[in-house]
Formats: sequence, C-alpha cells, structure tokens
Amino acid sequence: MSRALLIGCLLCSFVCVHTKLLAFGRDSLKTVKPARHYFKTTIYTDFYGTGNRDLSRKTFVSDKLKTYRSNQFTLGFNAPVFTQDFYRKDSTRISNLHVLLTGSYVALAPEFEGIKTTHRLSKTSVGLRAIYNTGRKSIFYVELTPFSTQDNGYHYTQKYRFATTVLYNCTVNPYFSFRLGFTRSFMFGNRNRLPYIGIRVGRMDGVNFSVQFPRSITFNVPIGRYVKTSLYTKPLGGLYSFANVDSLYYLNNDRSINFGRYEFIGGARVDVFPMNLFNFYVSAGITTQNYIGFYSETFNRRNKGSLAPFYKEKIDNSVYVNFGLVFKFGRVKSIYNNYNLYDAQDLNNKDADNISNGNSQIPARYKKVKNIKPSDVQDLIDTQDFY
Amino acid sequence: MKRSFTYLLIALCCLTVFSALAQPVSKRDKIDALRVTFINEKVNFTAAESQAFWPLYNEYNDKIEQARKSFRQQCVKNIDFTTLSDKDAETYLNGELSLKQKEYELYKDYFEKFKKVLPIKKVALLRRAEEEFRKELIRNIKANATEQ
Repeated sequence: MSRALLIGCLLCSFVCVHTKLLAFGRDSLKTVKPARHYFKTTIYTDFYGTGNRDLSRKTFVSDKLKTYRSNQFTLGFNAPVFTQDFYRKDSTRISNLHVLLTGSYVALAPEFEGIKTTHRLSKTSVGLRAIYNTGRKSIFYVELTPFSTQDNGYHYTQKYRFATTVLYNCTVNPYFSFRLGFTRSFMFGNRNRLPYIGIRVGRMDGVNFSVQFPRSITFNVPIGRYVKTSLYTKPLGGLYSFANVDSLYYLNNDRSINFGRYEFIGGARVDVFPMNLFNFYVSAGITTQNYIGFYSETFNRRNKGSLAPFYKEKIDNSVYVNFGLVFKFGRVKSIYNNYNLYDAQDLNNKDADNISNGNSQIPARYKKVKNIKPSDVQDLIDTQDFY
Repeated sequence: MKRSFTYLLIALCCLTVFSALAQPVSKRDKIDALRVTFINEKVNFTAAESQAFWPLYNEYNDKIEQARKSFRQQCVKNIDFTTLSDKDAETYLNGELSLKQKEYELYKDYFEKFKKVLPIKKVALLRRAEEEFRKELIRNIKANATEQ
C-alpha cells in the first residue's frame, strides 16, 4: 500500500513537471509553443474484483487453500517522451515516430480461506513503447516492459521478468485494419510466447468489431459525444512471486514459488468522457475459464518456455466488477480523420497487463453544434464576416 | 475487501481534485470536429486522398491556431485598449500585420501541398467548404443573438 502511494506521488510530480501544471497562471506572456506530441500523458487507475469460489479440494494444495477470490488494483501511466515528424514525398506525407514511457503498479490480493497468511502480490513495471507511423497504411509497434514482481513483506521473493510485444498494423481503409505480431506475455498466468493476430471492422470513431488475439474481442458502440459502450471478452491475469510460507510446495525447500492466474472476463463496459482531462469506465460481467496455478522455482529453473505447475485448477465462474479512472494531460496535435493515428491511439490504449485503460483520444464525431458564441469561433471567422 | 474500499476512496479523492481542475470538452473542440465532418461531406475524398490530406490539414490548422493564439496572448490580452499608448498601438498593429502575413504564408505553403495530394478541383471544393462552414457558424451566431 505504501509503495502504491509512493509511486502515486512520484507519478503526480512527474506529470506536474512534465505538463507544467504547476506553472498555472504564472506566465501568460510567452508565445504559444506548438504541441510536440500526438499522445497525451495519461495516468490511470483500475480496480477489478471477483467473488469467492470453492476449490475442488481433490489435491493437497487445493484442500489446503479451500476457497479463492481476488482483488486487483492497478495504477499506471504512459507519457510521450519523444515525437518526431518526418516529411516524405514532396513534403506531403507525414510519418512519425512516438516513444512513450510506460509504467504500472499492480497490487493483487488473492484470498484463500484455508491459509492464514495474507499475501499481497505486486508487480512494478517501467517500460518503453515505440510507435512508428509510416504515414501511409502501416504502423510498427514495439513495447518493452521489464517488471519486477514480489510478495510484499517477503523481499526474497522479488523476481525480474520481461514482457514484450512487437506488432505490425495495417490500416487498409477507415473501415478495416489488421494486425500481425508477436507477444511475450504473462497474462495467461504463465510465461507464454504467442502470435498476435487482429482485425477490426468498422470505423475506429464509430461502431466497430475488433478481434485482437490474444488480447481481446470487442464490439464498440459510441453513444453520442460522451459515452462509449462495448461488449467484450479478454483474458486477465499474471504471474506473481509468492512466498512459500504456508508450505504449499514441500519439495526442494523453495522459499519462493510462483502464483499464476488468469480468467476470461466477458461483459459490458461503459466509458464516459465528461471532460478533456478525465474519463472513467465501469464494467461488469462474468469470468470464465478461471485458472490458478502454482509453480516451483527450483523445478522450473532450467525451463526456458512455459512453466510447469505443481498445482493447477480450473475453478468456477464468478461475477466481476471493474472500474477505472483515467486522467489525461497536455496539449496535443490534431489527429482528425487521421486513421493511422486512430489505430496508433488504439494500440496505445492497451498495456502489458491487458488493462484497456480507455485513454484513447480519438475525437468524437459531431453532427451539429448549437448555441455558438463569437468567442468560441474567434479564430475561424473575421469580424468583417458579420457584415 | 477493506483494502478495496481504501483504493476506491483514493480513487474518489483523485476524482474530486481533478474534477475541480478539469475543463469540460470545449466548444472549440466540437467546432473543429464539426468542421472536419462538414469538409468531409462536401469534398468527398477517396480513401487514399483522405489518408494523405487529413494529416496535412490538421498540421495546417494547428499552425494557424498557434499563430492566432500567440497574437492574442502577445498583442491583445496585454493591451488595455481604454488607455492605449502609442507604443501599445504600434505593438498591436504590427502584431496583426505579422499574423496576416503568417496566415498568408501558411495558406500558400499548404495549398501547394494540398494540390500535390488532391486533384485541383477538390482543393477548390475544400476552400469553398471552409467558406460555407464559416457562413454556417455566422448564421448560427446570428440566430442565437436574435433568440436572445
């Protein structure tokens, strides 16, 4: 908890400095500087919780644990640190490179009624994300996310791991795009190397259906300017270090073992965008394909691929609730109807933890604006136009 | 569960603080988005034209807006027009002249670029659509003024 607060404070101070929030009202004389980036600095929090379920009690570990439930809290950010536009072909084609700093702190609290020890598992990551838009149809995406995981209170459980995603996105036209790539991910509660295959049908700023294996399947329906609804299913999970203080693994004297979990969560989600600086989302549904597993470190020491569990179990489905707050800072360049950058925004909307943080800055489409005042449009019209 | 409520409480505190700081979605943003829709409808770009044109048009508008904001901050906000000094008057007029020149240079520069990615007829239609949109805005403002 104290670590989460510390990271929160560090994030806030970083953002304040980065976006010059602290300079409010101090300096209005300087010439307006052009926006440097296309992505806003984003801080997000996400809460996810499931109900309590009985375990099968058919094995020693299962019998010892008895029941399972989990709560997960995530605090994360992504901030553009470098953006460069390149002009090609008679200086008419604009391609751009975006480098973003990403970070997150995930606190997972698995609760087992059978063991008295409280385990607070955490995962802290700081990574880099690079997005290169060729200015034609292609986007190249690379995400490097080194992270450390530990059972809080047991410093010897700290482990370092590395997740990565490399993608090629082709925006064929505003209504269709596909993605191909590779991901080294821990979201299935194990160390997996998976291909990434995705397609989207429908406009990014309208109704669309998107299948992004292994990350998500979503059907998105924006309702007006402020609300976006979606039906979705996606895996949510991770691989965490776990102190073996309850002797769940009794061979090899392992002090630290690994706890892996994932579930497919499927339900409805509502994203609300009430203001430029902030949006939030609420989602609920049912978890399916619930999996938990424990892995011995000694047993898997020479294992370079997926880890072999000494205990694994598929457990009953449960209802879940998920909500999050997203704060966005900074001025950015316009991206109206720039469908490549719409896809880039969508790529930036997911992270290694597979939390769709809803930070997308794709502009809403408007049909009519009422009650316009001259001050709203002073840059678009000359005073002489009134006569 | 107690911990979950703590997280929720922290989140709500953040929400309150940021809501106080936040600006609602500005009408200007909406108008920009509306203009884009308006131009799209009037000019009928092909997918390839759209892909090449919009990044350029966004960049053009960002530069124009930046120049106008700079002018307002430097030459309008800091000048008290009720007690206008000679020096302030000159600053204001020179600033306006520079702005007009900058706008013209940007216009010239970008319309050359637009001609490279769009057929000349569509560049003309684009100009026409921008004018019509301005008239639409003025009609809307006048209608509001009449209602009030």
